[in-house]
Amino acid sequence: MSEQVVPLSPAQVSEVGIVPAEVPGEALPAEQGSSLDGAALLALAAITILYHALDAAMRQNSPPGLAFRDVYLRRVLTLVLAFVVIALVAGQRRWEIKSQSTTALRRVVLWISGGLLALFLLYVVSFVFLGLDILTDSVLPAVAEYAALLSVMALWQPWQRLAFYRSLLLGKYAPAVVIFVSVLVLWQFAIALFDIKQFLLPAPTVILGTFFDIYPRLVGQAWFTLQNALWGFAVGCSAGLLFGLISARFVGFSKAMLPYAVAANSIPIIAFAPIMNQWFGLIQPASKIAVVTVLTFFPVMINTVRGLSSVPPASLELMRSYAASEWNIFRKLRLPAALPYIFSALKVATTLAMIGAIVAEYFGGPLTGLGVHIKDDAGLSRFPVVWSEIIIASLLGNTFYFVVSLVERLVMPWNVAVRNQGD
Amino acid sequence: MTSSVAQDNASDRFSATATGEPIVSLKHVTQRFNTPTGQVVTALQDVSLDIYPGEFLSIIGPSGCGKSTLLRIVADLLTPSSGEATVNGKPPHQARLNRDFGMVFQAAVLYDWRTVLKNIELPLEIMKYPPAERTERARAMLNLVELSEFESHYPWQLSGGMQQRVAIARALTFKPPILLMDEPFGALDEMTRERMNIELLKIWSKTNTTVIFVTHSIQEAVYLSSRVAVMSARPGQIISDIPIPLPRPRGPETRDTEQFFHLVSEVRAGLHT
Repeated sequence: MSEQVVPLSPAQVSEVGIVPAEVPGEALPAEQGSSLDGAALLALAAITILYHALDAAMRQNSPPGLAFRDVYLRRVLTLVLAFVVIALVAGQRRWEIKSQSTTALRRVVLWISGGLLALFLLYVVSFVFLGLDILTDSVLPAVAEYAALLSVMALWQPWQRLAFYRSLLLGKYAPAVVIFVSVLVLWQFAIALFDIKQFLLPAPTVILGTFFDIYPRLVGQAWFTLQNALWGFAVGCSAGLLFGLISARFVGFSKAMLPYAVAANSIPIIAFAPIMNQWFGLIQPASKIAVVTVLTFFPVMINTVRGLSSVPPASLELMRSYAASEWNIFRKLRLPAALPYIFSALKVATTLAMIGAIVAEYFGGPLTGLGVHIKDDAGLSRFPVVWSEIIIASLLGNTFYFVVSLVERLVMPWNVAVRNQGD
Repeated sequence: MTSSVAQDNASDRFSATATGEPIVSLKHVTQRFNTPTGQVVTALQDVSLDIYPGEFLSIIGPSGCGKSTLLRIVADLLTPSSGEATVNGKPPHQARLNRDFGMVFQAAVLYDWRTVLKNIELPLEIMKYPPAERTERARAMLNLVELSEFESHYPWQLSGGMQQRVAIARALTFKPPILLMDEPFGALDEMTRERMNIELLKIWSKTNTTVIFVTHSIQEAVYLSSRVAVMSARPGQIISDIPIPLPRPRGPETRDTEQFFHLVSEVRAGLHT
């Protein structure tokens, strides 16, 4: 057992005299790769932001403090941090079980850093959720922040993965990185060279400067719009799941509903936004939530039905040969087999939710929303501001997508598609 | 005729019990299918076959001869158009409800979301065995198919042959008296297949299971079986029933004996009548 990281070592393979078509030797680093790094980075960002939100003085003065003053935003951030910490610890544990390389010291470090992060979370919860101010004017918030940051680093251990990053950067991401950097550079030079006016296209440096100048305001607006997206996502996806389950269970219902669902899925539902404004009130969040709900409902429903009914016949025959009950077939076969379909719909739905929440505001909405500001600032030719608003929207959209795909990895560590994709 | 064949076979250590009541019995079974174009295809025509406890019976024939259909009738995945099937003294439907047989398909049909051990525990979960016993039995089966160190692997981490061994372990874990195998090694390469044949005989000799084994490999049928039923195509009928009195235990060297070659020729001749 020399190669402990590879799930099936060549020694074991030759021992059984079978040469498998493909030994997924690269599987483990790739699986570990993007999601672990993303989770660690997200955790670091969340801790830093929460630190500024913990300290009352910082919330009055520092720009990040100002940006994250909203108590609900801090609560959501706390929940995201809690989830990411769970993902980090679970990911590390799974990796250690697989690689069988746990040393006693490593395990102690794992438990200590996990425990410290749990304490930090408790502290944040006491502040953010319970409204307690435990020693916030002392040195404690700073100490807690540094302890939490160090714990994340201990869980993450990026220095052990340098070789992996290098191979990733040189092998996988090199073309993308080169393109990205060269587009930015070309953009910058083209603007200087051809004297492109700012209302046509601002320079990247100008956009970035504007972003950092006004981001406390942007975070507030984006948060308002994200709330609509989140509520719509929650309602639309749960309804889609529910109707999907009903359709898969009752053939008659499915026959009556599914053609319309498939047809509705190809309608540009965003076109209904003005009608929703009329129904639910122009400046009410309900009108935007309604758009997002309808937008996310259909793909989730269709994919749930598809997943539940696309079980291979042989798997069903196996269940039949055990004289399994319908409930057992559903719980032990149909549902797990449908999970990949459901999660791919949920990931699509995160994007749709962001689009829906922002674009619905183009048709009018409260002045607190991001979409309203994008439209207005574009009308006033404040294009660097518009670009900054687009940046924050894409940052939030990506985080949303990432959190859902992290849930996917936690729920189905077995999924080969997830493992090979490494997005 | 079939019962006299079984008695001829009595010298065979593993079919010593192959007298008395058959464990699986087909009487004048006919199976017709309606094709989408409105034609009627007769897959099985008046098939009668008795299988005795402890036997290893192979059904061999050209593709499309209805050998899988026959197995699916025994497994209650199909109801015959006419005729009668009895499994363990009951109609197939009752036998299925009583979990009298285990099935192994051409593909391993392992569930991707379960580890190897959990896959083997699946039938026990459905049959409501207590958790401790589930794990104990699944581990014992895993030991039998010599995959103990892979219990926490996922199916995609195993090779085709290993997956099929897991499938066999899963079919045997609730100790069914009958094991139905539908071309289980058909998708494997020749070398793996021969290894798997040896493994299967080992497992069979350690359990009291009656095996009905569908294959289209003559060598495999002769090597494994105590009796080979040869089928003709369209309509599917059993055209000969050949006892295989090769001594047991059979090893790789069995394939090189004159008797083996002789029996292979006999089965091949049976196929071409």
